[in-house]
Amino acid sequence: MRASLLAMIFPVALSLSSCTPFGNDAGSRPPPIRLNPHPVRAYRVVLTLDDAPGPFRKVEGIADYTAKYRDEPSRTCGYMAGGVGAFIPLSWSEPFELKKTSEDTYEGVIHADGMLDEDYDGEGVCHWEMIEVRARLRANDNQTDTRFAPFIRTTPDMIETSSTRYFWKGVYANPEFSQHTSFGQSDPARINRKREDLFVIQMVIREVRP
Amino acid sequence: MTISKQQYAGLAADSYEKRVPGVLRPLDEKPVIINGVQFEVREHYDNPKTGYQGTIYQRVDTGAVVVAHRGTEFDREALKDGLVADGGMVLSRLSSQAPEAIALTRRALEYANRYSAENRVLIPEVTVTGHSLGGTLAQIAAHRLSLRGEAFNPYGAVSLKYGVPEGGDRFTNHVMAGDTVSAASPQYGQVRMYAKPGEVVALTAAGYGRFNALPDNPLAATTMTMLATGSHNMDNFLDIDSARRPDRSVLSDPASRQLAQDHAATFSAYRNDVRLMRGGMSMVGDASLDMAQRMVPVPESEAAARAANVKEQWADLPRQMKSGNSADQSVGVLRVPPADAKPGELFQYLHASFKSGDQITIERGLSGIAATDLGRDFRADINARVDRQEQHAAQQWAEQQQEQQRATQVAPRSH
Repeated sequence: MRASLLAMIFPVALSLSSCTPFGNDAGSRPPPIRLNPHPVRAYRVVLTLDDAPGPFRKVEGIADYTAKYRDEPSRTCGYMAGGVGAFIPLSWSEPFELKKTSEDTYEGVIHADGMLDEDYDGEGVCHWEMIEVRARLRANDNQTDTRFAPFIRTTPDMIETSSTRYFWKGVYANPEFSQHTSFGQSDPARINRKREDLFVIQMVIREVRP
Repeated sequence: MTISKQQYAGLAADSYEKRVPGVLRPLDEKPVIINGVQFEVREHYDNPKTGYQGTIYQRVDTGAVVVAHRGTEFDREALKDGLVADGGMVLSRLSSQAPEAIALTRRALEYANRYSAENRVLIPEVTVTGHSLGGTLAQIAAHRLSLRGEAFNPYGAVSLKYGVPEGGDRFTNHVMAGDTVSAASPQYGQVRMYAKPGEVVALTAAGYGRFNALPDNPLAATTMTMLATGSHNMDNFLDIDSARRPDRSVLSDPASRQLAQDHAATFSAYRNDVRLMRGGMSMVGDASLDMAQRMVPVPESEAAARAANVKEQWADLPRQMKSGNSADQSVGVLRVPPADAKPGELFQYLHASFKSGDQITIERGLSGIAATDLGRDFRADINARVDRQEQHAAQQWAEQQQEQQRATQVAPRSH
């Protein structure tokens, strides 16, 4: 009987060890994730620019969600990728509209319960939570433009939360920073430039009471 | 250190996620939170032709940049065709992926420069990570671009043709003691070994360890560590088990380092055997999935359902070993199999002896199998292979000596 060790290792390591390609597929690939058709926990997002270096023609909002087992909140919902035990937590990014309401203000509405809680793998209902709200601003609707990307962490019990982030103006419409994303800094001292060379993007999230 | 080993593990695992390739669209820049620390995906690259996939992450609070290279993934069709069993194909894929891995890592360095120019801060450090063959790519990129990094059960890049030297302190490899992939080839950087109790049992059952009367059988050991204990899998390094339940990562469990130390001689004997058996990549070319399957005994009466059945049996083994439940209660553990036992019988026999969880029964079971015709053939094959390796090495050494002598004669040194 001839045996080649590597011939054993790779099929075994890559396919069989976590039963994925041949066994039950639940938990070994991303499940179909659905939006909650009847969300009720609404929040208003207000984005305010201060001393911006120029106009932003493309402004988008995104809400990020992750899921935990409802009856076992210490357990993150996810699946095993690649047949090698690489755990990928479930996550979802849902875009929302940020409408310009004044020269320097944009507003939108998001839902903390925007995702539909479901039992994906027979191990219990996965409860979705909103974990972050973020925005993307570009000078023009051009994929290579520098993106300004403020973000704010959210918690399930929040009523109101806000973030102020500082950005260097020099990145704006600067071809040297093509395809660059600037996340800004919460502390202006962490950008080693004069205060007047910075601009501010503030985000405020507030519960909408019916 | 700005990135902890547990965070590297989280990123190496996350790199297996399917993302939209190319420079990211706004939706894809979503956060990845690992041990409470937020990373943002900066770029994702995916080439279906070569199978290479890599992701650039940035730690939001410190700006540190990490490039995670994904391990090669094979689809069902490739497995069916027996392509995967061809180790040569694995390595040729790797060679087509290495330039892409280096290119993506270069782009991470460019990004770090832009980030530095933007914030007028020092250029954030760029490091690399990866699991399995992704770890190989991480070693190659780290060496080529002089970066630090950490890999998980990587196939060592030293035996490949990239000029990567063995050892050094710029790179850390976290390996499971029973993992065959990381044992097969010398590693770039330091090696930190971790062990699980199941791996000790598996290696003991395969003949390794002091006072073990059984002949060492690296192939049996590999079969068990890869299938039953899942030694190669990424979940060993995550705070989650293979069933996606919370479970302590070996990285943070001192007991797993201790266990690896306590059985250091056993594990190193096994890993040396694996390295010997690597047998040069050329040897692998003639292998096929069918051959690999023959290593896993199949009951002949079930030949029709052969492929599916054997996979299920083995896939189910870890669960059965844990729960103590098994379908083959009727198999007597202590009844020695006949010399002409069929693979199916041996499988059940091995399975039953393992299920007992009792060291003596397992050893008795293994020696029973070793005494059968199949066991003898198996061992003879392994031994012949190791002999050939040693002969080859001896021959090479002799040739080298001759070469050196000739060189000395042509150009004698003058002191």
